[in-house]
Amino acid sequence: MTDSDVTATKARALDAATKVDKKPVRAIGLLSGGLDSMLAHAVIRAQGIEVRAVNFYTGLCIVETQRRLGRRRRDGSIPANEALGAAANLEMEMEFIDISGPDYLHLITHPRYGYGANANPCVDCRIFMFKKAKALMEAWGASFVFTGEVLGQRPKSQRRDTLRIVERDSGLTGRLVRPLSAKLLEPTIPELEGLLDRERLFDFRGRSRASQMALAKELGLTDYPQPAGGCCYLTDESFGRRFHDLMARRPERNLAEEEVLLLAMGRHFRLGEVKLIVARNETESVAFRRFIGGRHAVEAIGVNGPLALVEGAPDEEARRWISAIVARYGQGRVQARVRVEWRDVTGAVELREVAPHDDEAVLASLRI
Amino acid sequence: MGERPSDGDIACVVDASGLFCPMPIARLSAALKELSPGAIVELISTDPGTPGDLTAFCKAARHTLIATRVEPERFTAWVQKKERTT
Ligand code: SF4
Repeated sequence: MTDSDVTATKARALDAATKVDKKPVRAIGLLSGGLDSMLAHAVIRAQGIEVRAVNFYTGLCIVETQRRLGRRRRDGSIPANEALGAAANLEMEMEFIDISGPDYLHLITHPRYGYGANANPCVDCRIFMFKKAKALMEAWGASFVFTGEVLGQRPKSQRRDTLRIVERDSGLTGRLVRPLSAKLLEPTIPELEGLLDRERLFDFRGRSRASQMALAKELGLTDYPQPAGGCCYLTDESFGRRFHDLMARRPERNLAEEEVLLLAMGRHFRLGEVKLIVARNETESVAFRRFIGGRHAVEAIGVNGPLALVEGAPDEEARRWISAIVARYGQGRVQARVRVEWRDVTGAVELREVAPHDDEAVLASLRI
Repeated sequence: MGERPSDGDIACVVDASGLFCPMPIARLSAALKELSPGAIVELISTDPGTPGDLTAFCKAARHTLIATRVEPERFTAWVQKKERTT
């Protein structure tokens, strides 16, 4: 929609607003589970609007992998799904929408608007999600889509110009409401139509959460997650480094689902064109077994130690380095010599005996 | 929480073994959507976080968690779809 189309639409909407419409007003809300999205839902529902809350599953969720690997939080508890917790606090049903798969992977490897600080193509990702939300909005007869975005809260994806791009490219021009910053933004169609009372929306801006916390208190929302963390691997620093390392060596920029899982696990080392991934514990070693196909598998024998996977075609020198590194991460690290078994992509088996690597500074320099 | 319902009362079984957050709940939610109010679904999950997720899910959507069974590697729950609210 062009800007003049929007103006015309808004003018028509104003005319329509004078007529009495008794149909329930409906909206699609994006519930991530963070405080802002919770507040946005509470604020919109407080206006008597019927809300359908959705949460997008991208397949890159940190909690999912943590649970798969049996990891616990520092306090020993199982990592929780924040969106479900938020829905429970708001006492509203929430739907998971699965957007994982080839189209989403293509998006993260070919983002039109680039990446944030790590591997997060948030602008493209939001456009992708909002297009899905728009389809739901139309199918459900809803009038708008809303999110908990706050103007200026994130350096790239929540700037005024980016918010506009996301609105335009998702086809939601005039129908994407950000209740927490609405008063700082152009009135949207539901506001102009009188479906949404702009006076009861907010003018929050920036990174401080003081206003949100005050509003949460006012609305009686006491149980909400802290801002740290998030559930998206793409914003994780070490995942981002590994992702960009992989993409830099892959001009076609393709990425398979299993590679995403591997980027999230183990210790990664780069030796020229060869990559070594060493499991961090028994659970990861077990998980690695399903990724052996197409990779060399290396592990110490006679002592407990991790399974390691090798991608690429290691030459003799790389094989020596890799064997020593794999030996260093097992119980054989205190021994003078460790036997290491290589199972090549071809199925050929080779035994080597090496001294475990003992130079931590060198190891650190090889880490991705 | 009550007793495990008899087999004849279970409308559908969602076996989410091997899947992790949010898939067990997402599959359960999709199954409940297809059923009539009052129908019972059996959920099987190996995700250690499912008990917590399920409590939140039932509270949010107002479904009834009828019974659960916890085994070392497996969690089973019986959920009854909420009655129509309107
Ligand atoms: S943090 Fe992850 S899921 Fe959220 S918008 Fe950015 S890329 Fe998408």
